[in-house]
Amino acid sequence: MSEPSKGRALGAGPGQKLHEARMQARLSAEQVAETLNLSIQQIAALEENDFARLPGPTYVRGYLRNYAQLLGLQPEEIIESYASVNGTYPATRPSTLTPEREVTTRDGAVRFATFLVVGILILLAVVWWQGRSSRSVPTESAIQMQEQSTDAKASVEQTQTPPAPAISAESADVAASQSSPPEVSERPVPDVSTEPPVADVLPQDSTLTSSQPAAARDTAQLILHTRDTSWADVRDASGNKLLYMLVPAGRRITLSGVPPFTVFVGNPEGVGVEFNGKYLDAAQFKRGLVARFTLGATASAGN
Amino acid sequence: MFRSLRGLFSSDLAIDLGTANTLIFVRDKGIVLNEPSVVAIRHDPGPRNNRTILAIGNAAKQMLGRTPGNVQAIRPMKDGVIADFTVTGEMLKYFIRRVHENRLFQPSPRIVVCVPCGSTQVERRAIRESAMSAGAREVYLIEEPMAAAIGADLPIVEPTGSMVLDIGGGTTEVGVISLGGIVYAHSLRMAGDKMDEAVINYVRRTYGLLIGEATAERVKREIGAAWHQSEVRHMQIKGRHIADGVPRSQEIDSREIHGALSECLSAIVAAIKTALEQTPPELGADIAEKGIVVTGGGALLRDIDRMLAAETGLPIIITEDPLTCVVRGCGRALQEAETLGDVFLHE
Repeated sequence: MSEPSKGRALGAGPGQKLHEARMQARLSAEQVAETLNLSIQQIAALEENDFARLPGPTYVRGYLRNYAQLLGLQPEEIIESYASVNGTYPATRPSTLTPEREVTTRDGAVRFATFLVVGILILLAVVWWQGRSSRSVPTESAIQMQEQSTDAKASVEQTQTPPAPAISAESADVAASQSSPPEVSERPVPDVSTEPPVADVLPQDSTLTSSQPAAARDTAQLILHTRDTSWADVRDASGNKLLYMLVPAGRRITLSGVPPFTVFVGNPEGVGVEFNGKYLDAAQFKRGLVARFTLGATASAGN
Repeated sequence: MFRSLRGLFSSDLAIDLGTANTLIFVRDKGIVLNEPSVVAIRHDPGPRNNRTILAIGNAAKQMLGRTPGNVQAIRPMKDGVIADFTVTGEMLKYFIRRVHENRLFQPSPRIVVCVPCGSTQVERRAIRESAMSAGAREVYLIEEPMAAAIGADLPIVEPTGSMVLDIGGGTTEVGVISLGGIVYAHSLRMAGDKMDEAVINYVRRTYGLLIGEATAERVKREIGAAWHQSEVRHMQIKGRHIADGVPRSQEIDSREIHGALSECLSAIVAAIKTALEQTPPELGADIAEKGIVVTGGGALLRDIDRMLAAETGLPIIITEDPLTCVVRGCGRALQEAETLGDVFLHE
């Protein structure tokens, strides 16, 4: 009978307790080894807390449990005292067996996050809207300025040309055929420069006709209606540009000059022309995608 | 492409798709789900024979054997493999959605599923497809003895033999593992379910009393014992008498149950003996020195370690928390694929 007594209690652990319990139960190491199907060396290693001589933690826990059951001890206590020395198992223990609580939209955190995101979106939208409206004001005025300057330039050009001689109304077509120099703008120059260009576009024909001097009776009026945005290029008899721009939809532009007028329209379907009280649709002159025609030469001859 | 994108918002899962219970292990988190593999299905009246899922898991298990005509509580897994493909897919989908945290994106995790080592290619394919249909991005399969050995923290990568016995619901697996590979494995379709059946048959034959699966399982858990010298316990059971047709109650003791279970237990012992015979002698010596590690729900049967120790003459080690051992092993295989080496199955 070889008692594993020498070198006992190498370290802390359940070995001492097991040994005492075995002594109390009056069992020899051989008997225990035979019952547990272990070798005497393994039993000695267990009682001496010499776990390096045993296979691995899983096996050691199993041996301790079986040994404790055999001696009538609480296996959990023995294994706990082993774990306190060689605490590998609790570290690898799974975190929890209960399924995690489901997160629903009713949860405070989710609600808060939702409101936060919605609030930020609204704030961004407001900032964007304000930035947009404040920026749109200067751009519009800039366009106006541009238009004014071009308009003024055109009127300056017109004023620089020599004034046309006063011709009677009866000889208007004769004058037109002779391609007389262009008529002075009905309006005085400073008036044009101060007036916004919108006024030029707006229906003002009544005021124009009323303010028209008798000397300019040989000039004719051309009214351009746009239903759709279109490029328009209108020149009078001497080739002066009366209109040379992209006209937005829904405008009514009154032009006056010495006929015949050469008209070029980029979008004939969207443009109507009123000349001498006669309404013409630009589409009837359409050739290809554009329309090019002359008005006032002899009645209205399409080009 | 969208699956891989959605994968950024899904954590990897390890699933023990067992006959009795399904467990899910989430990477870096641990076990988050442990529910019975039971699905309750309602058949809607009508020409199209629509089937809707009424309950899954614990709620469905309570319905087992207690359902009206149009409701059917079924266990889609049988003998460790899929018996009802669509229902298994639905069940997996439900479980995966339950453990999925990110509510904004649909789950598309990488999944490790364990399969019995004796399963055929068709059965493995079915499990793989079922996990794919549940939304998995990639599916890896691992054999149950390997997962159980990893879960029990055995030295699988070392050149030493370890034997593991996993007594589950549908199958009992015996495996000998060394150097990160399976040296010998055998799967026996004789486990917890067969024990319940044996109890049902015993009670019917001896007392003419019909009991259900749930009662039989309760009997096995409370008074069932694997060893003939176990302490004797008694229990009252209620069932329908075959001759009278009325419910009767009857007292049974653990010795009777041991007798009923002995056929299953001897089959398991025979499987272990066969495995020991087939194991190369060096590994056999290692196993004789260290013993057999037992996991699975069957390890909770009272005194099964004593019975196995007496029958085999080897030390028997029941792992801590045997019910979750396999899924913990799957999870570790997922997390420590680099250190453990290639432990997955390739077809």
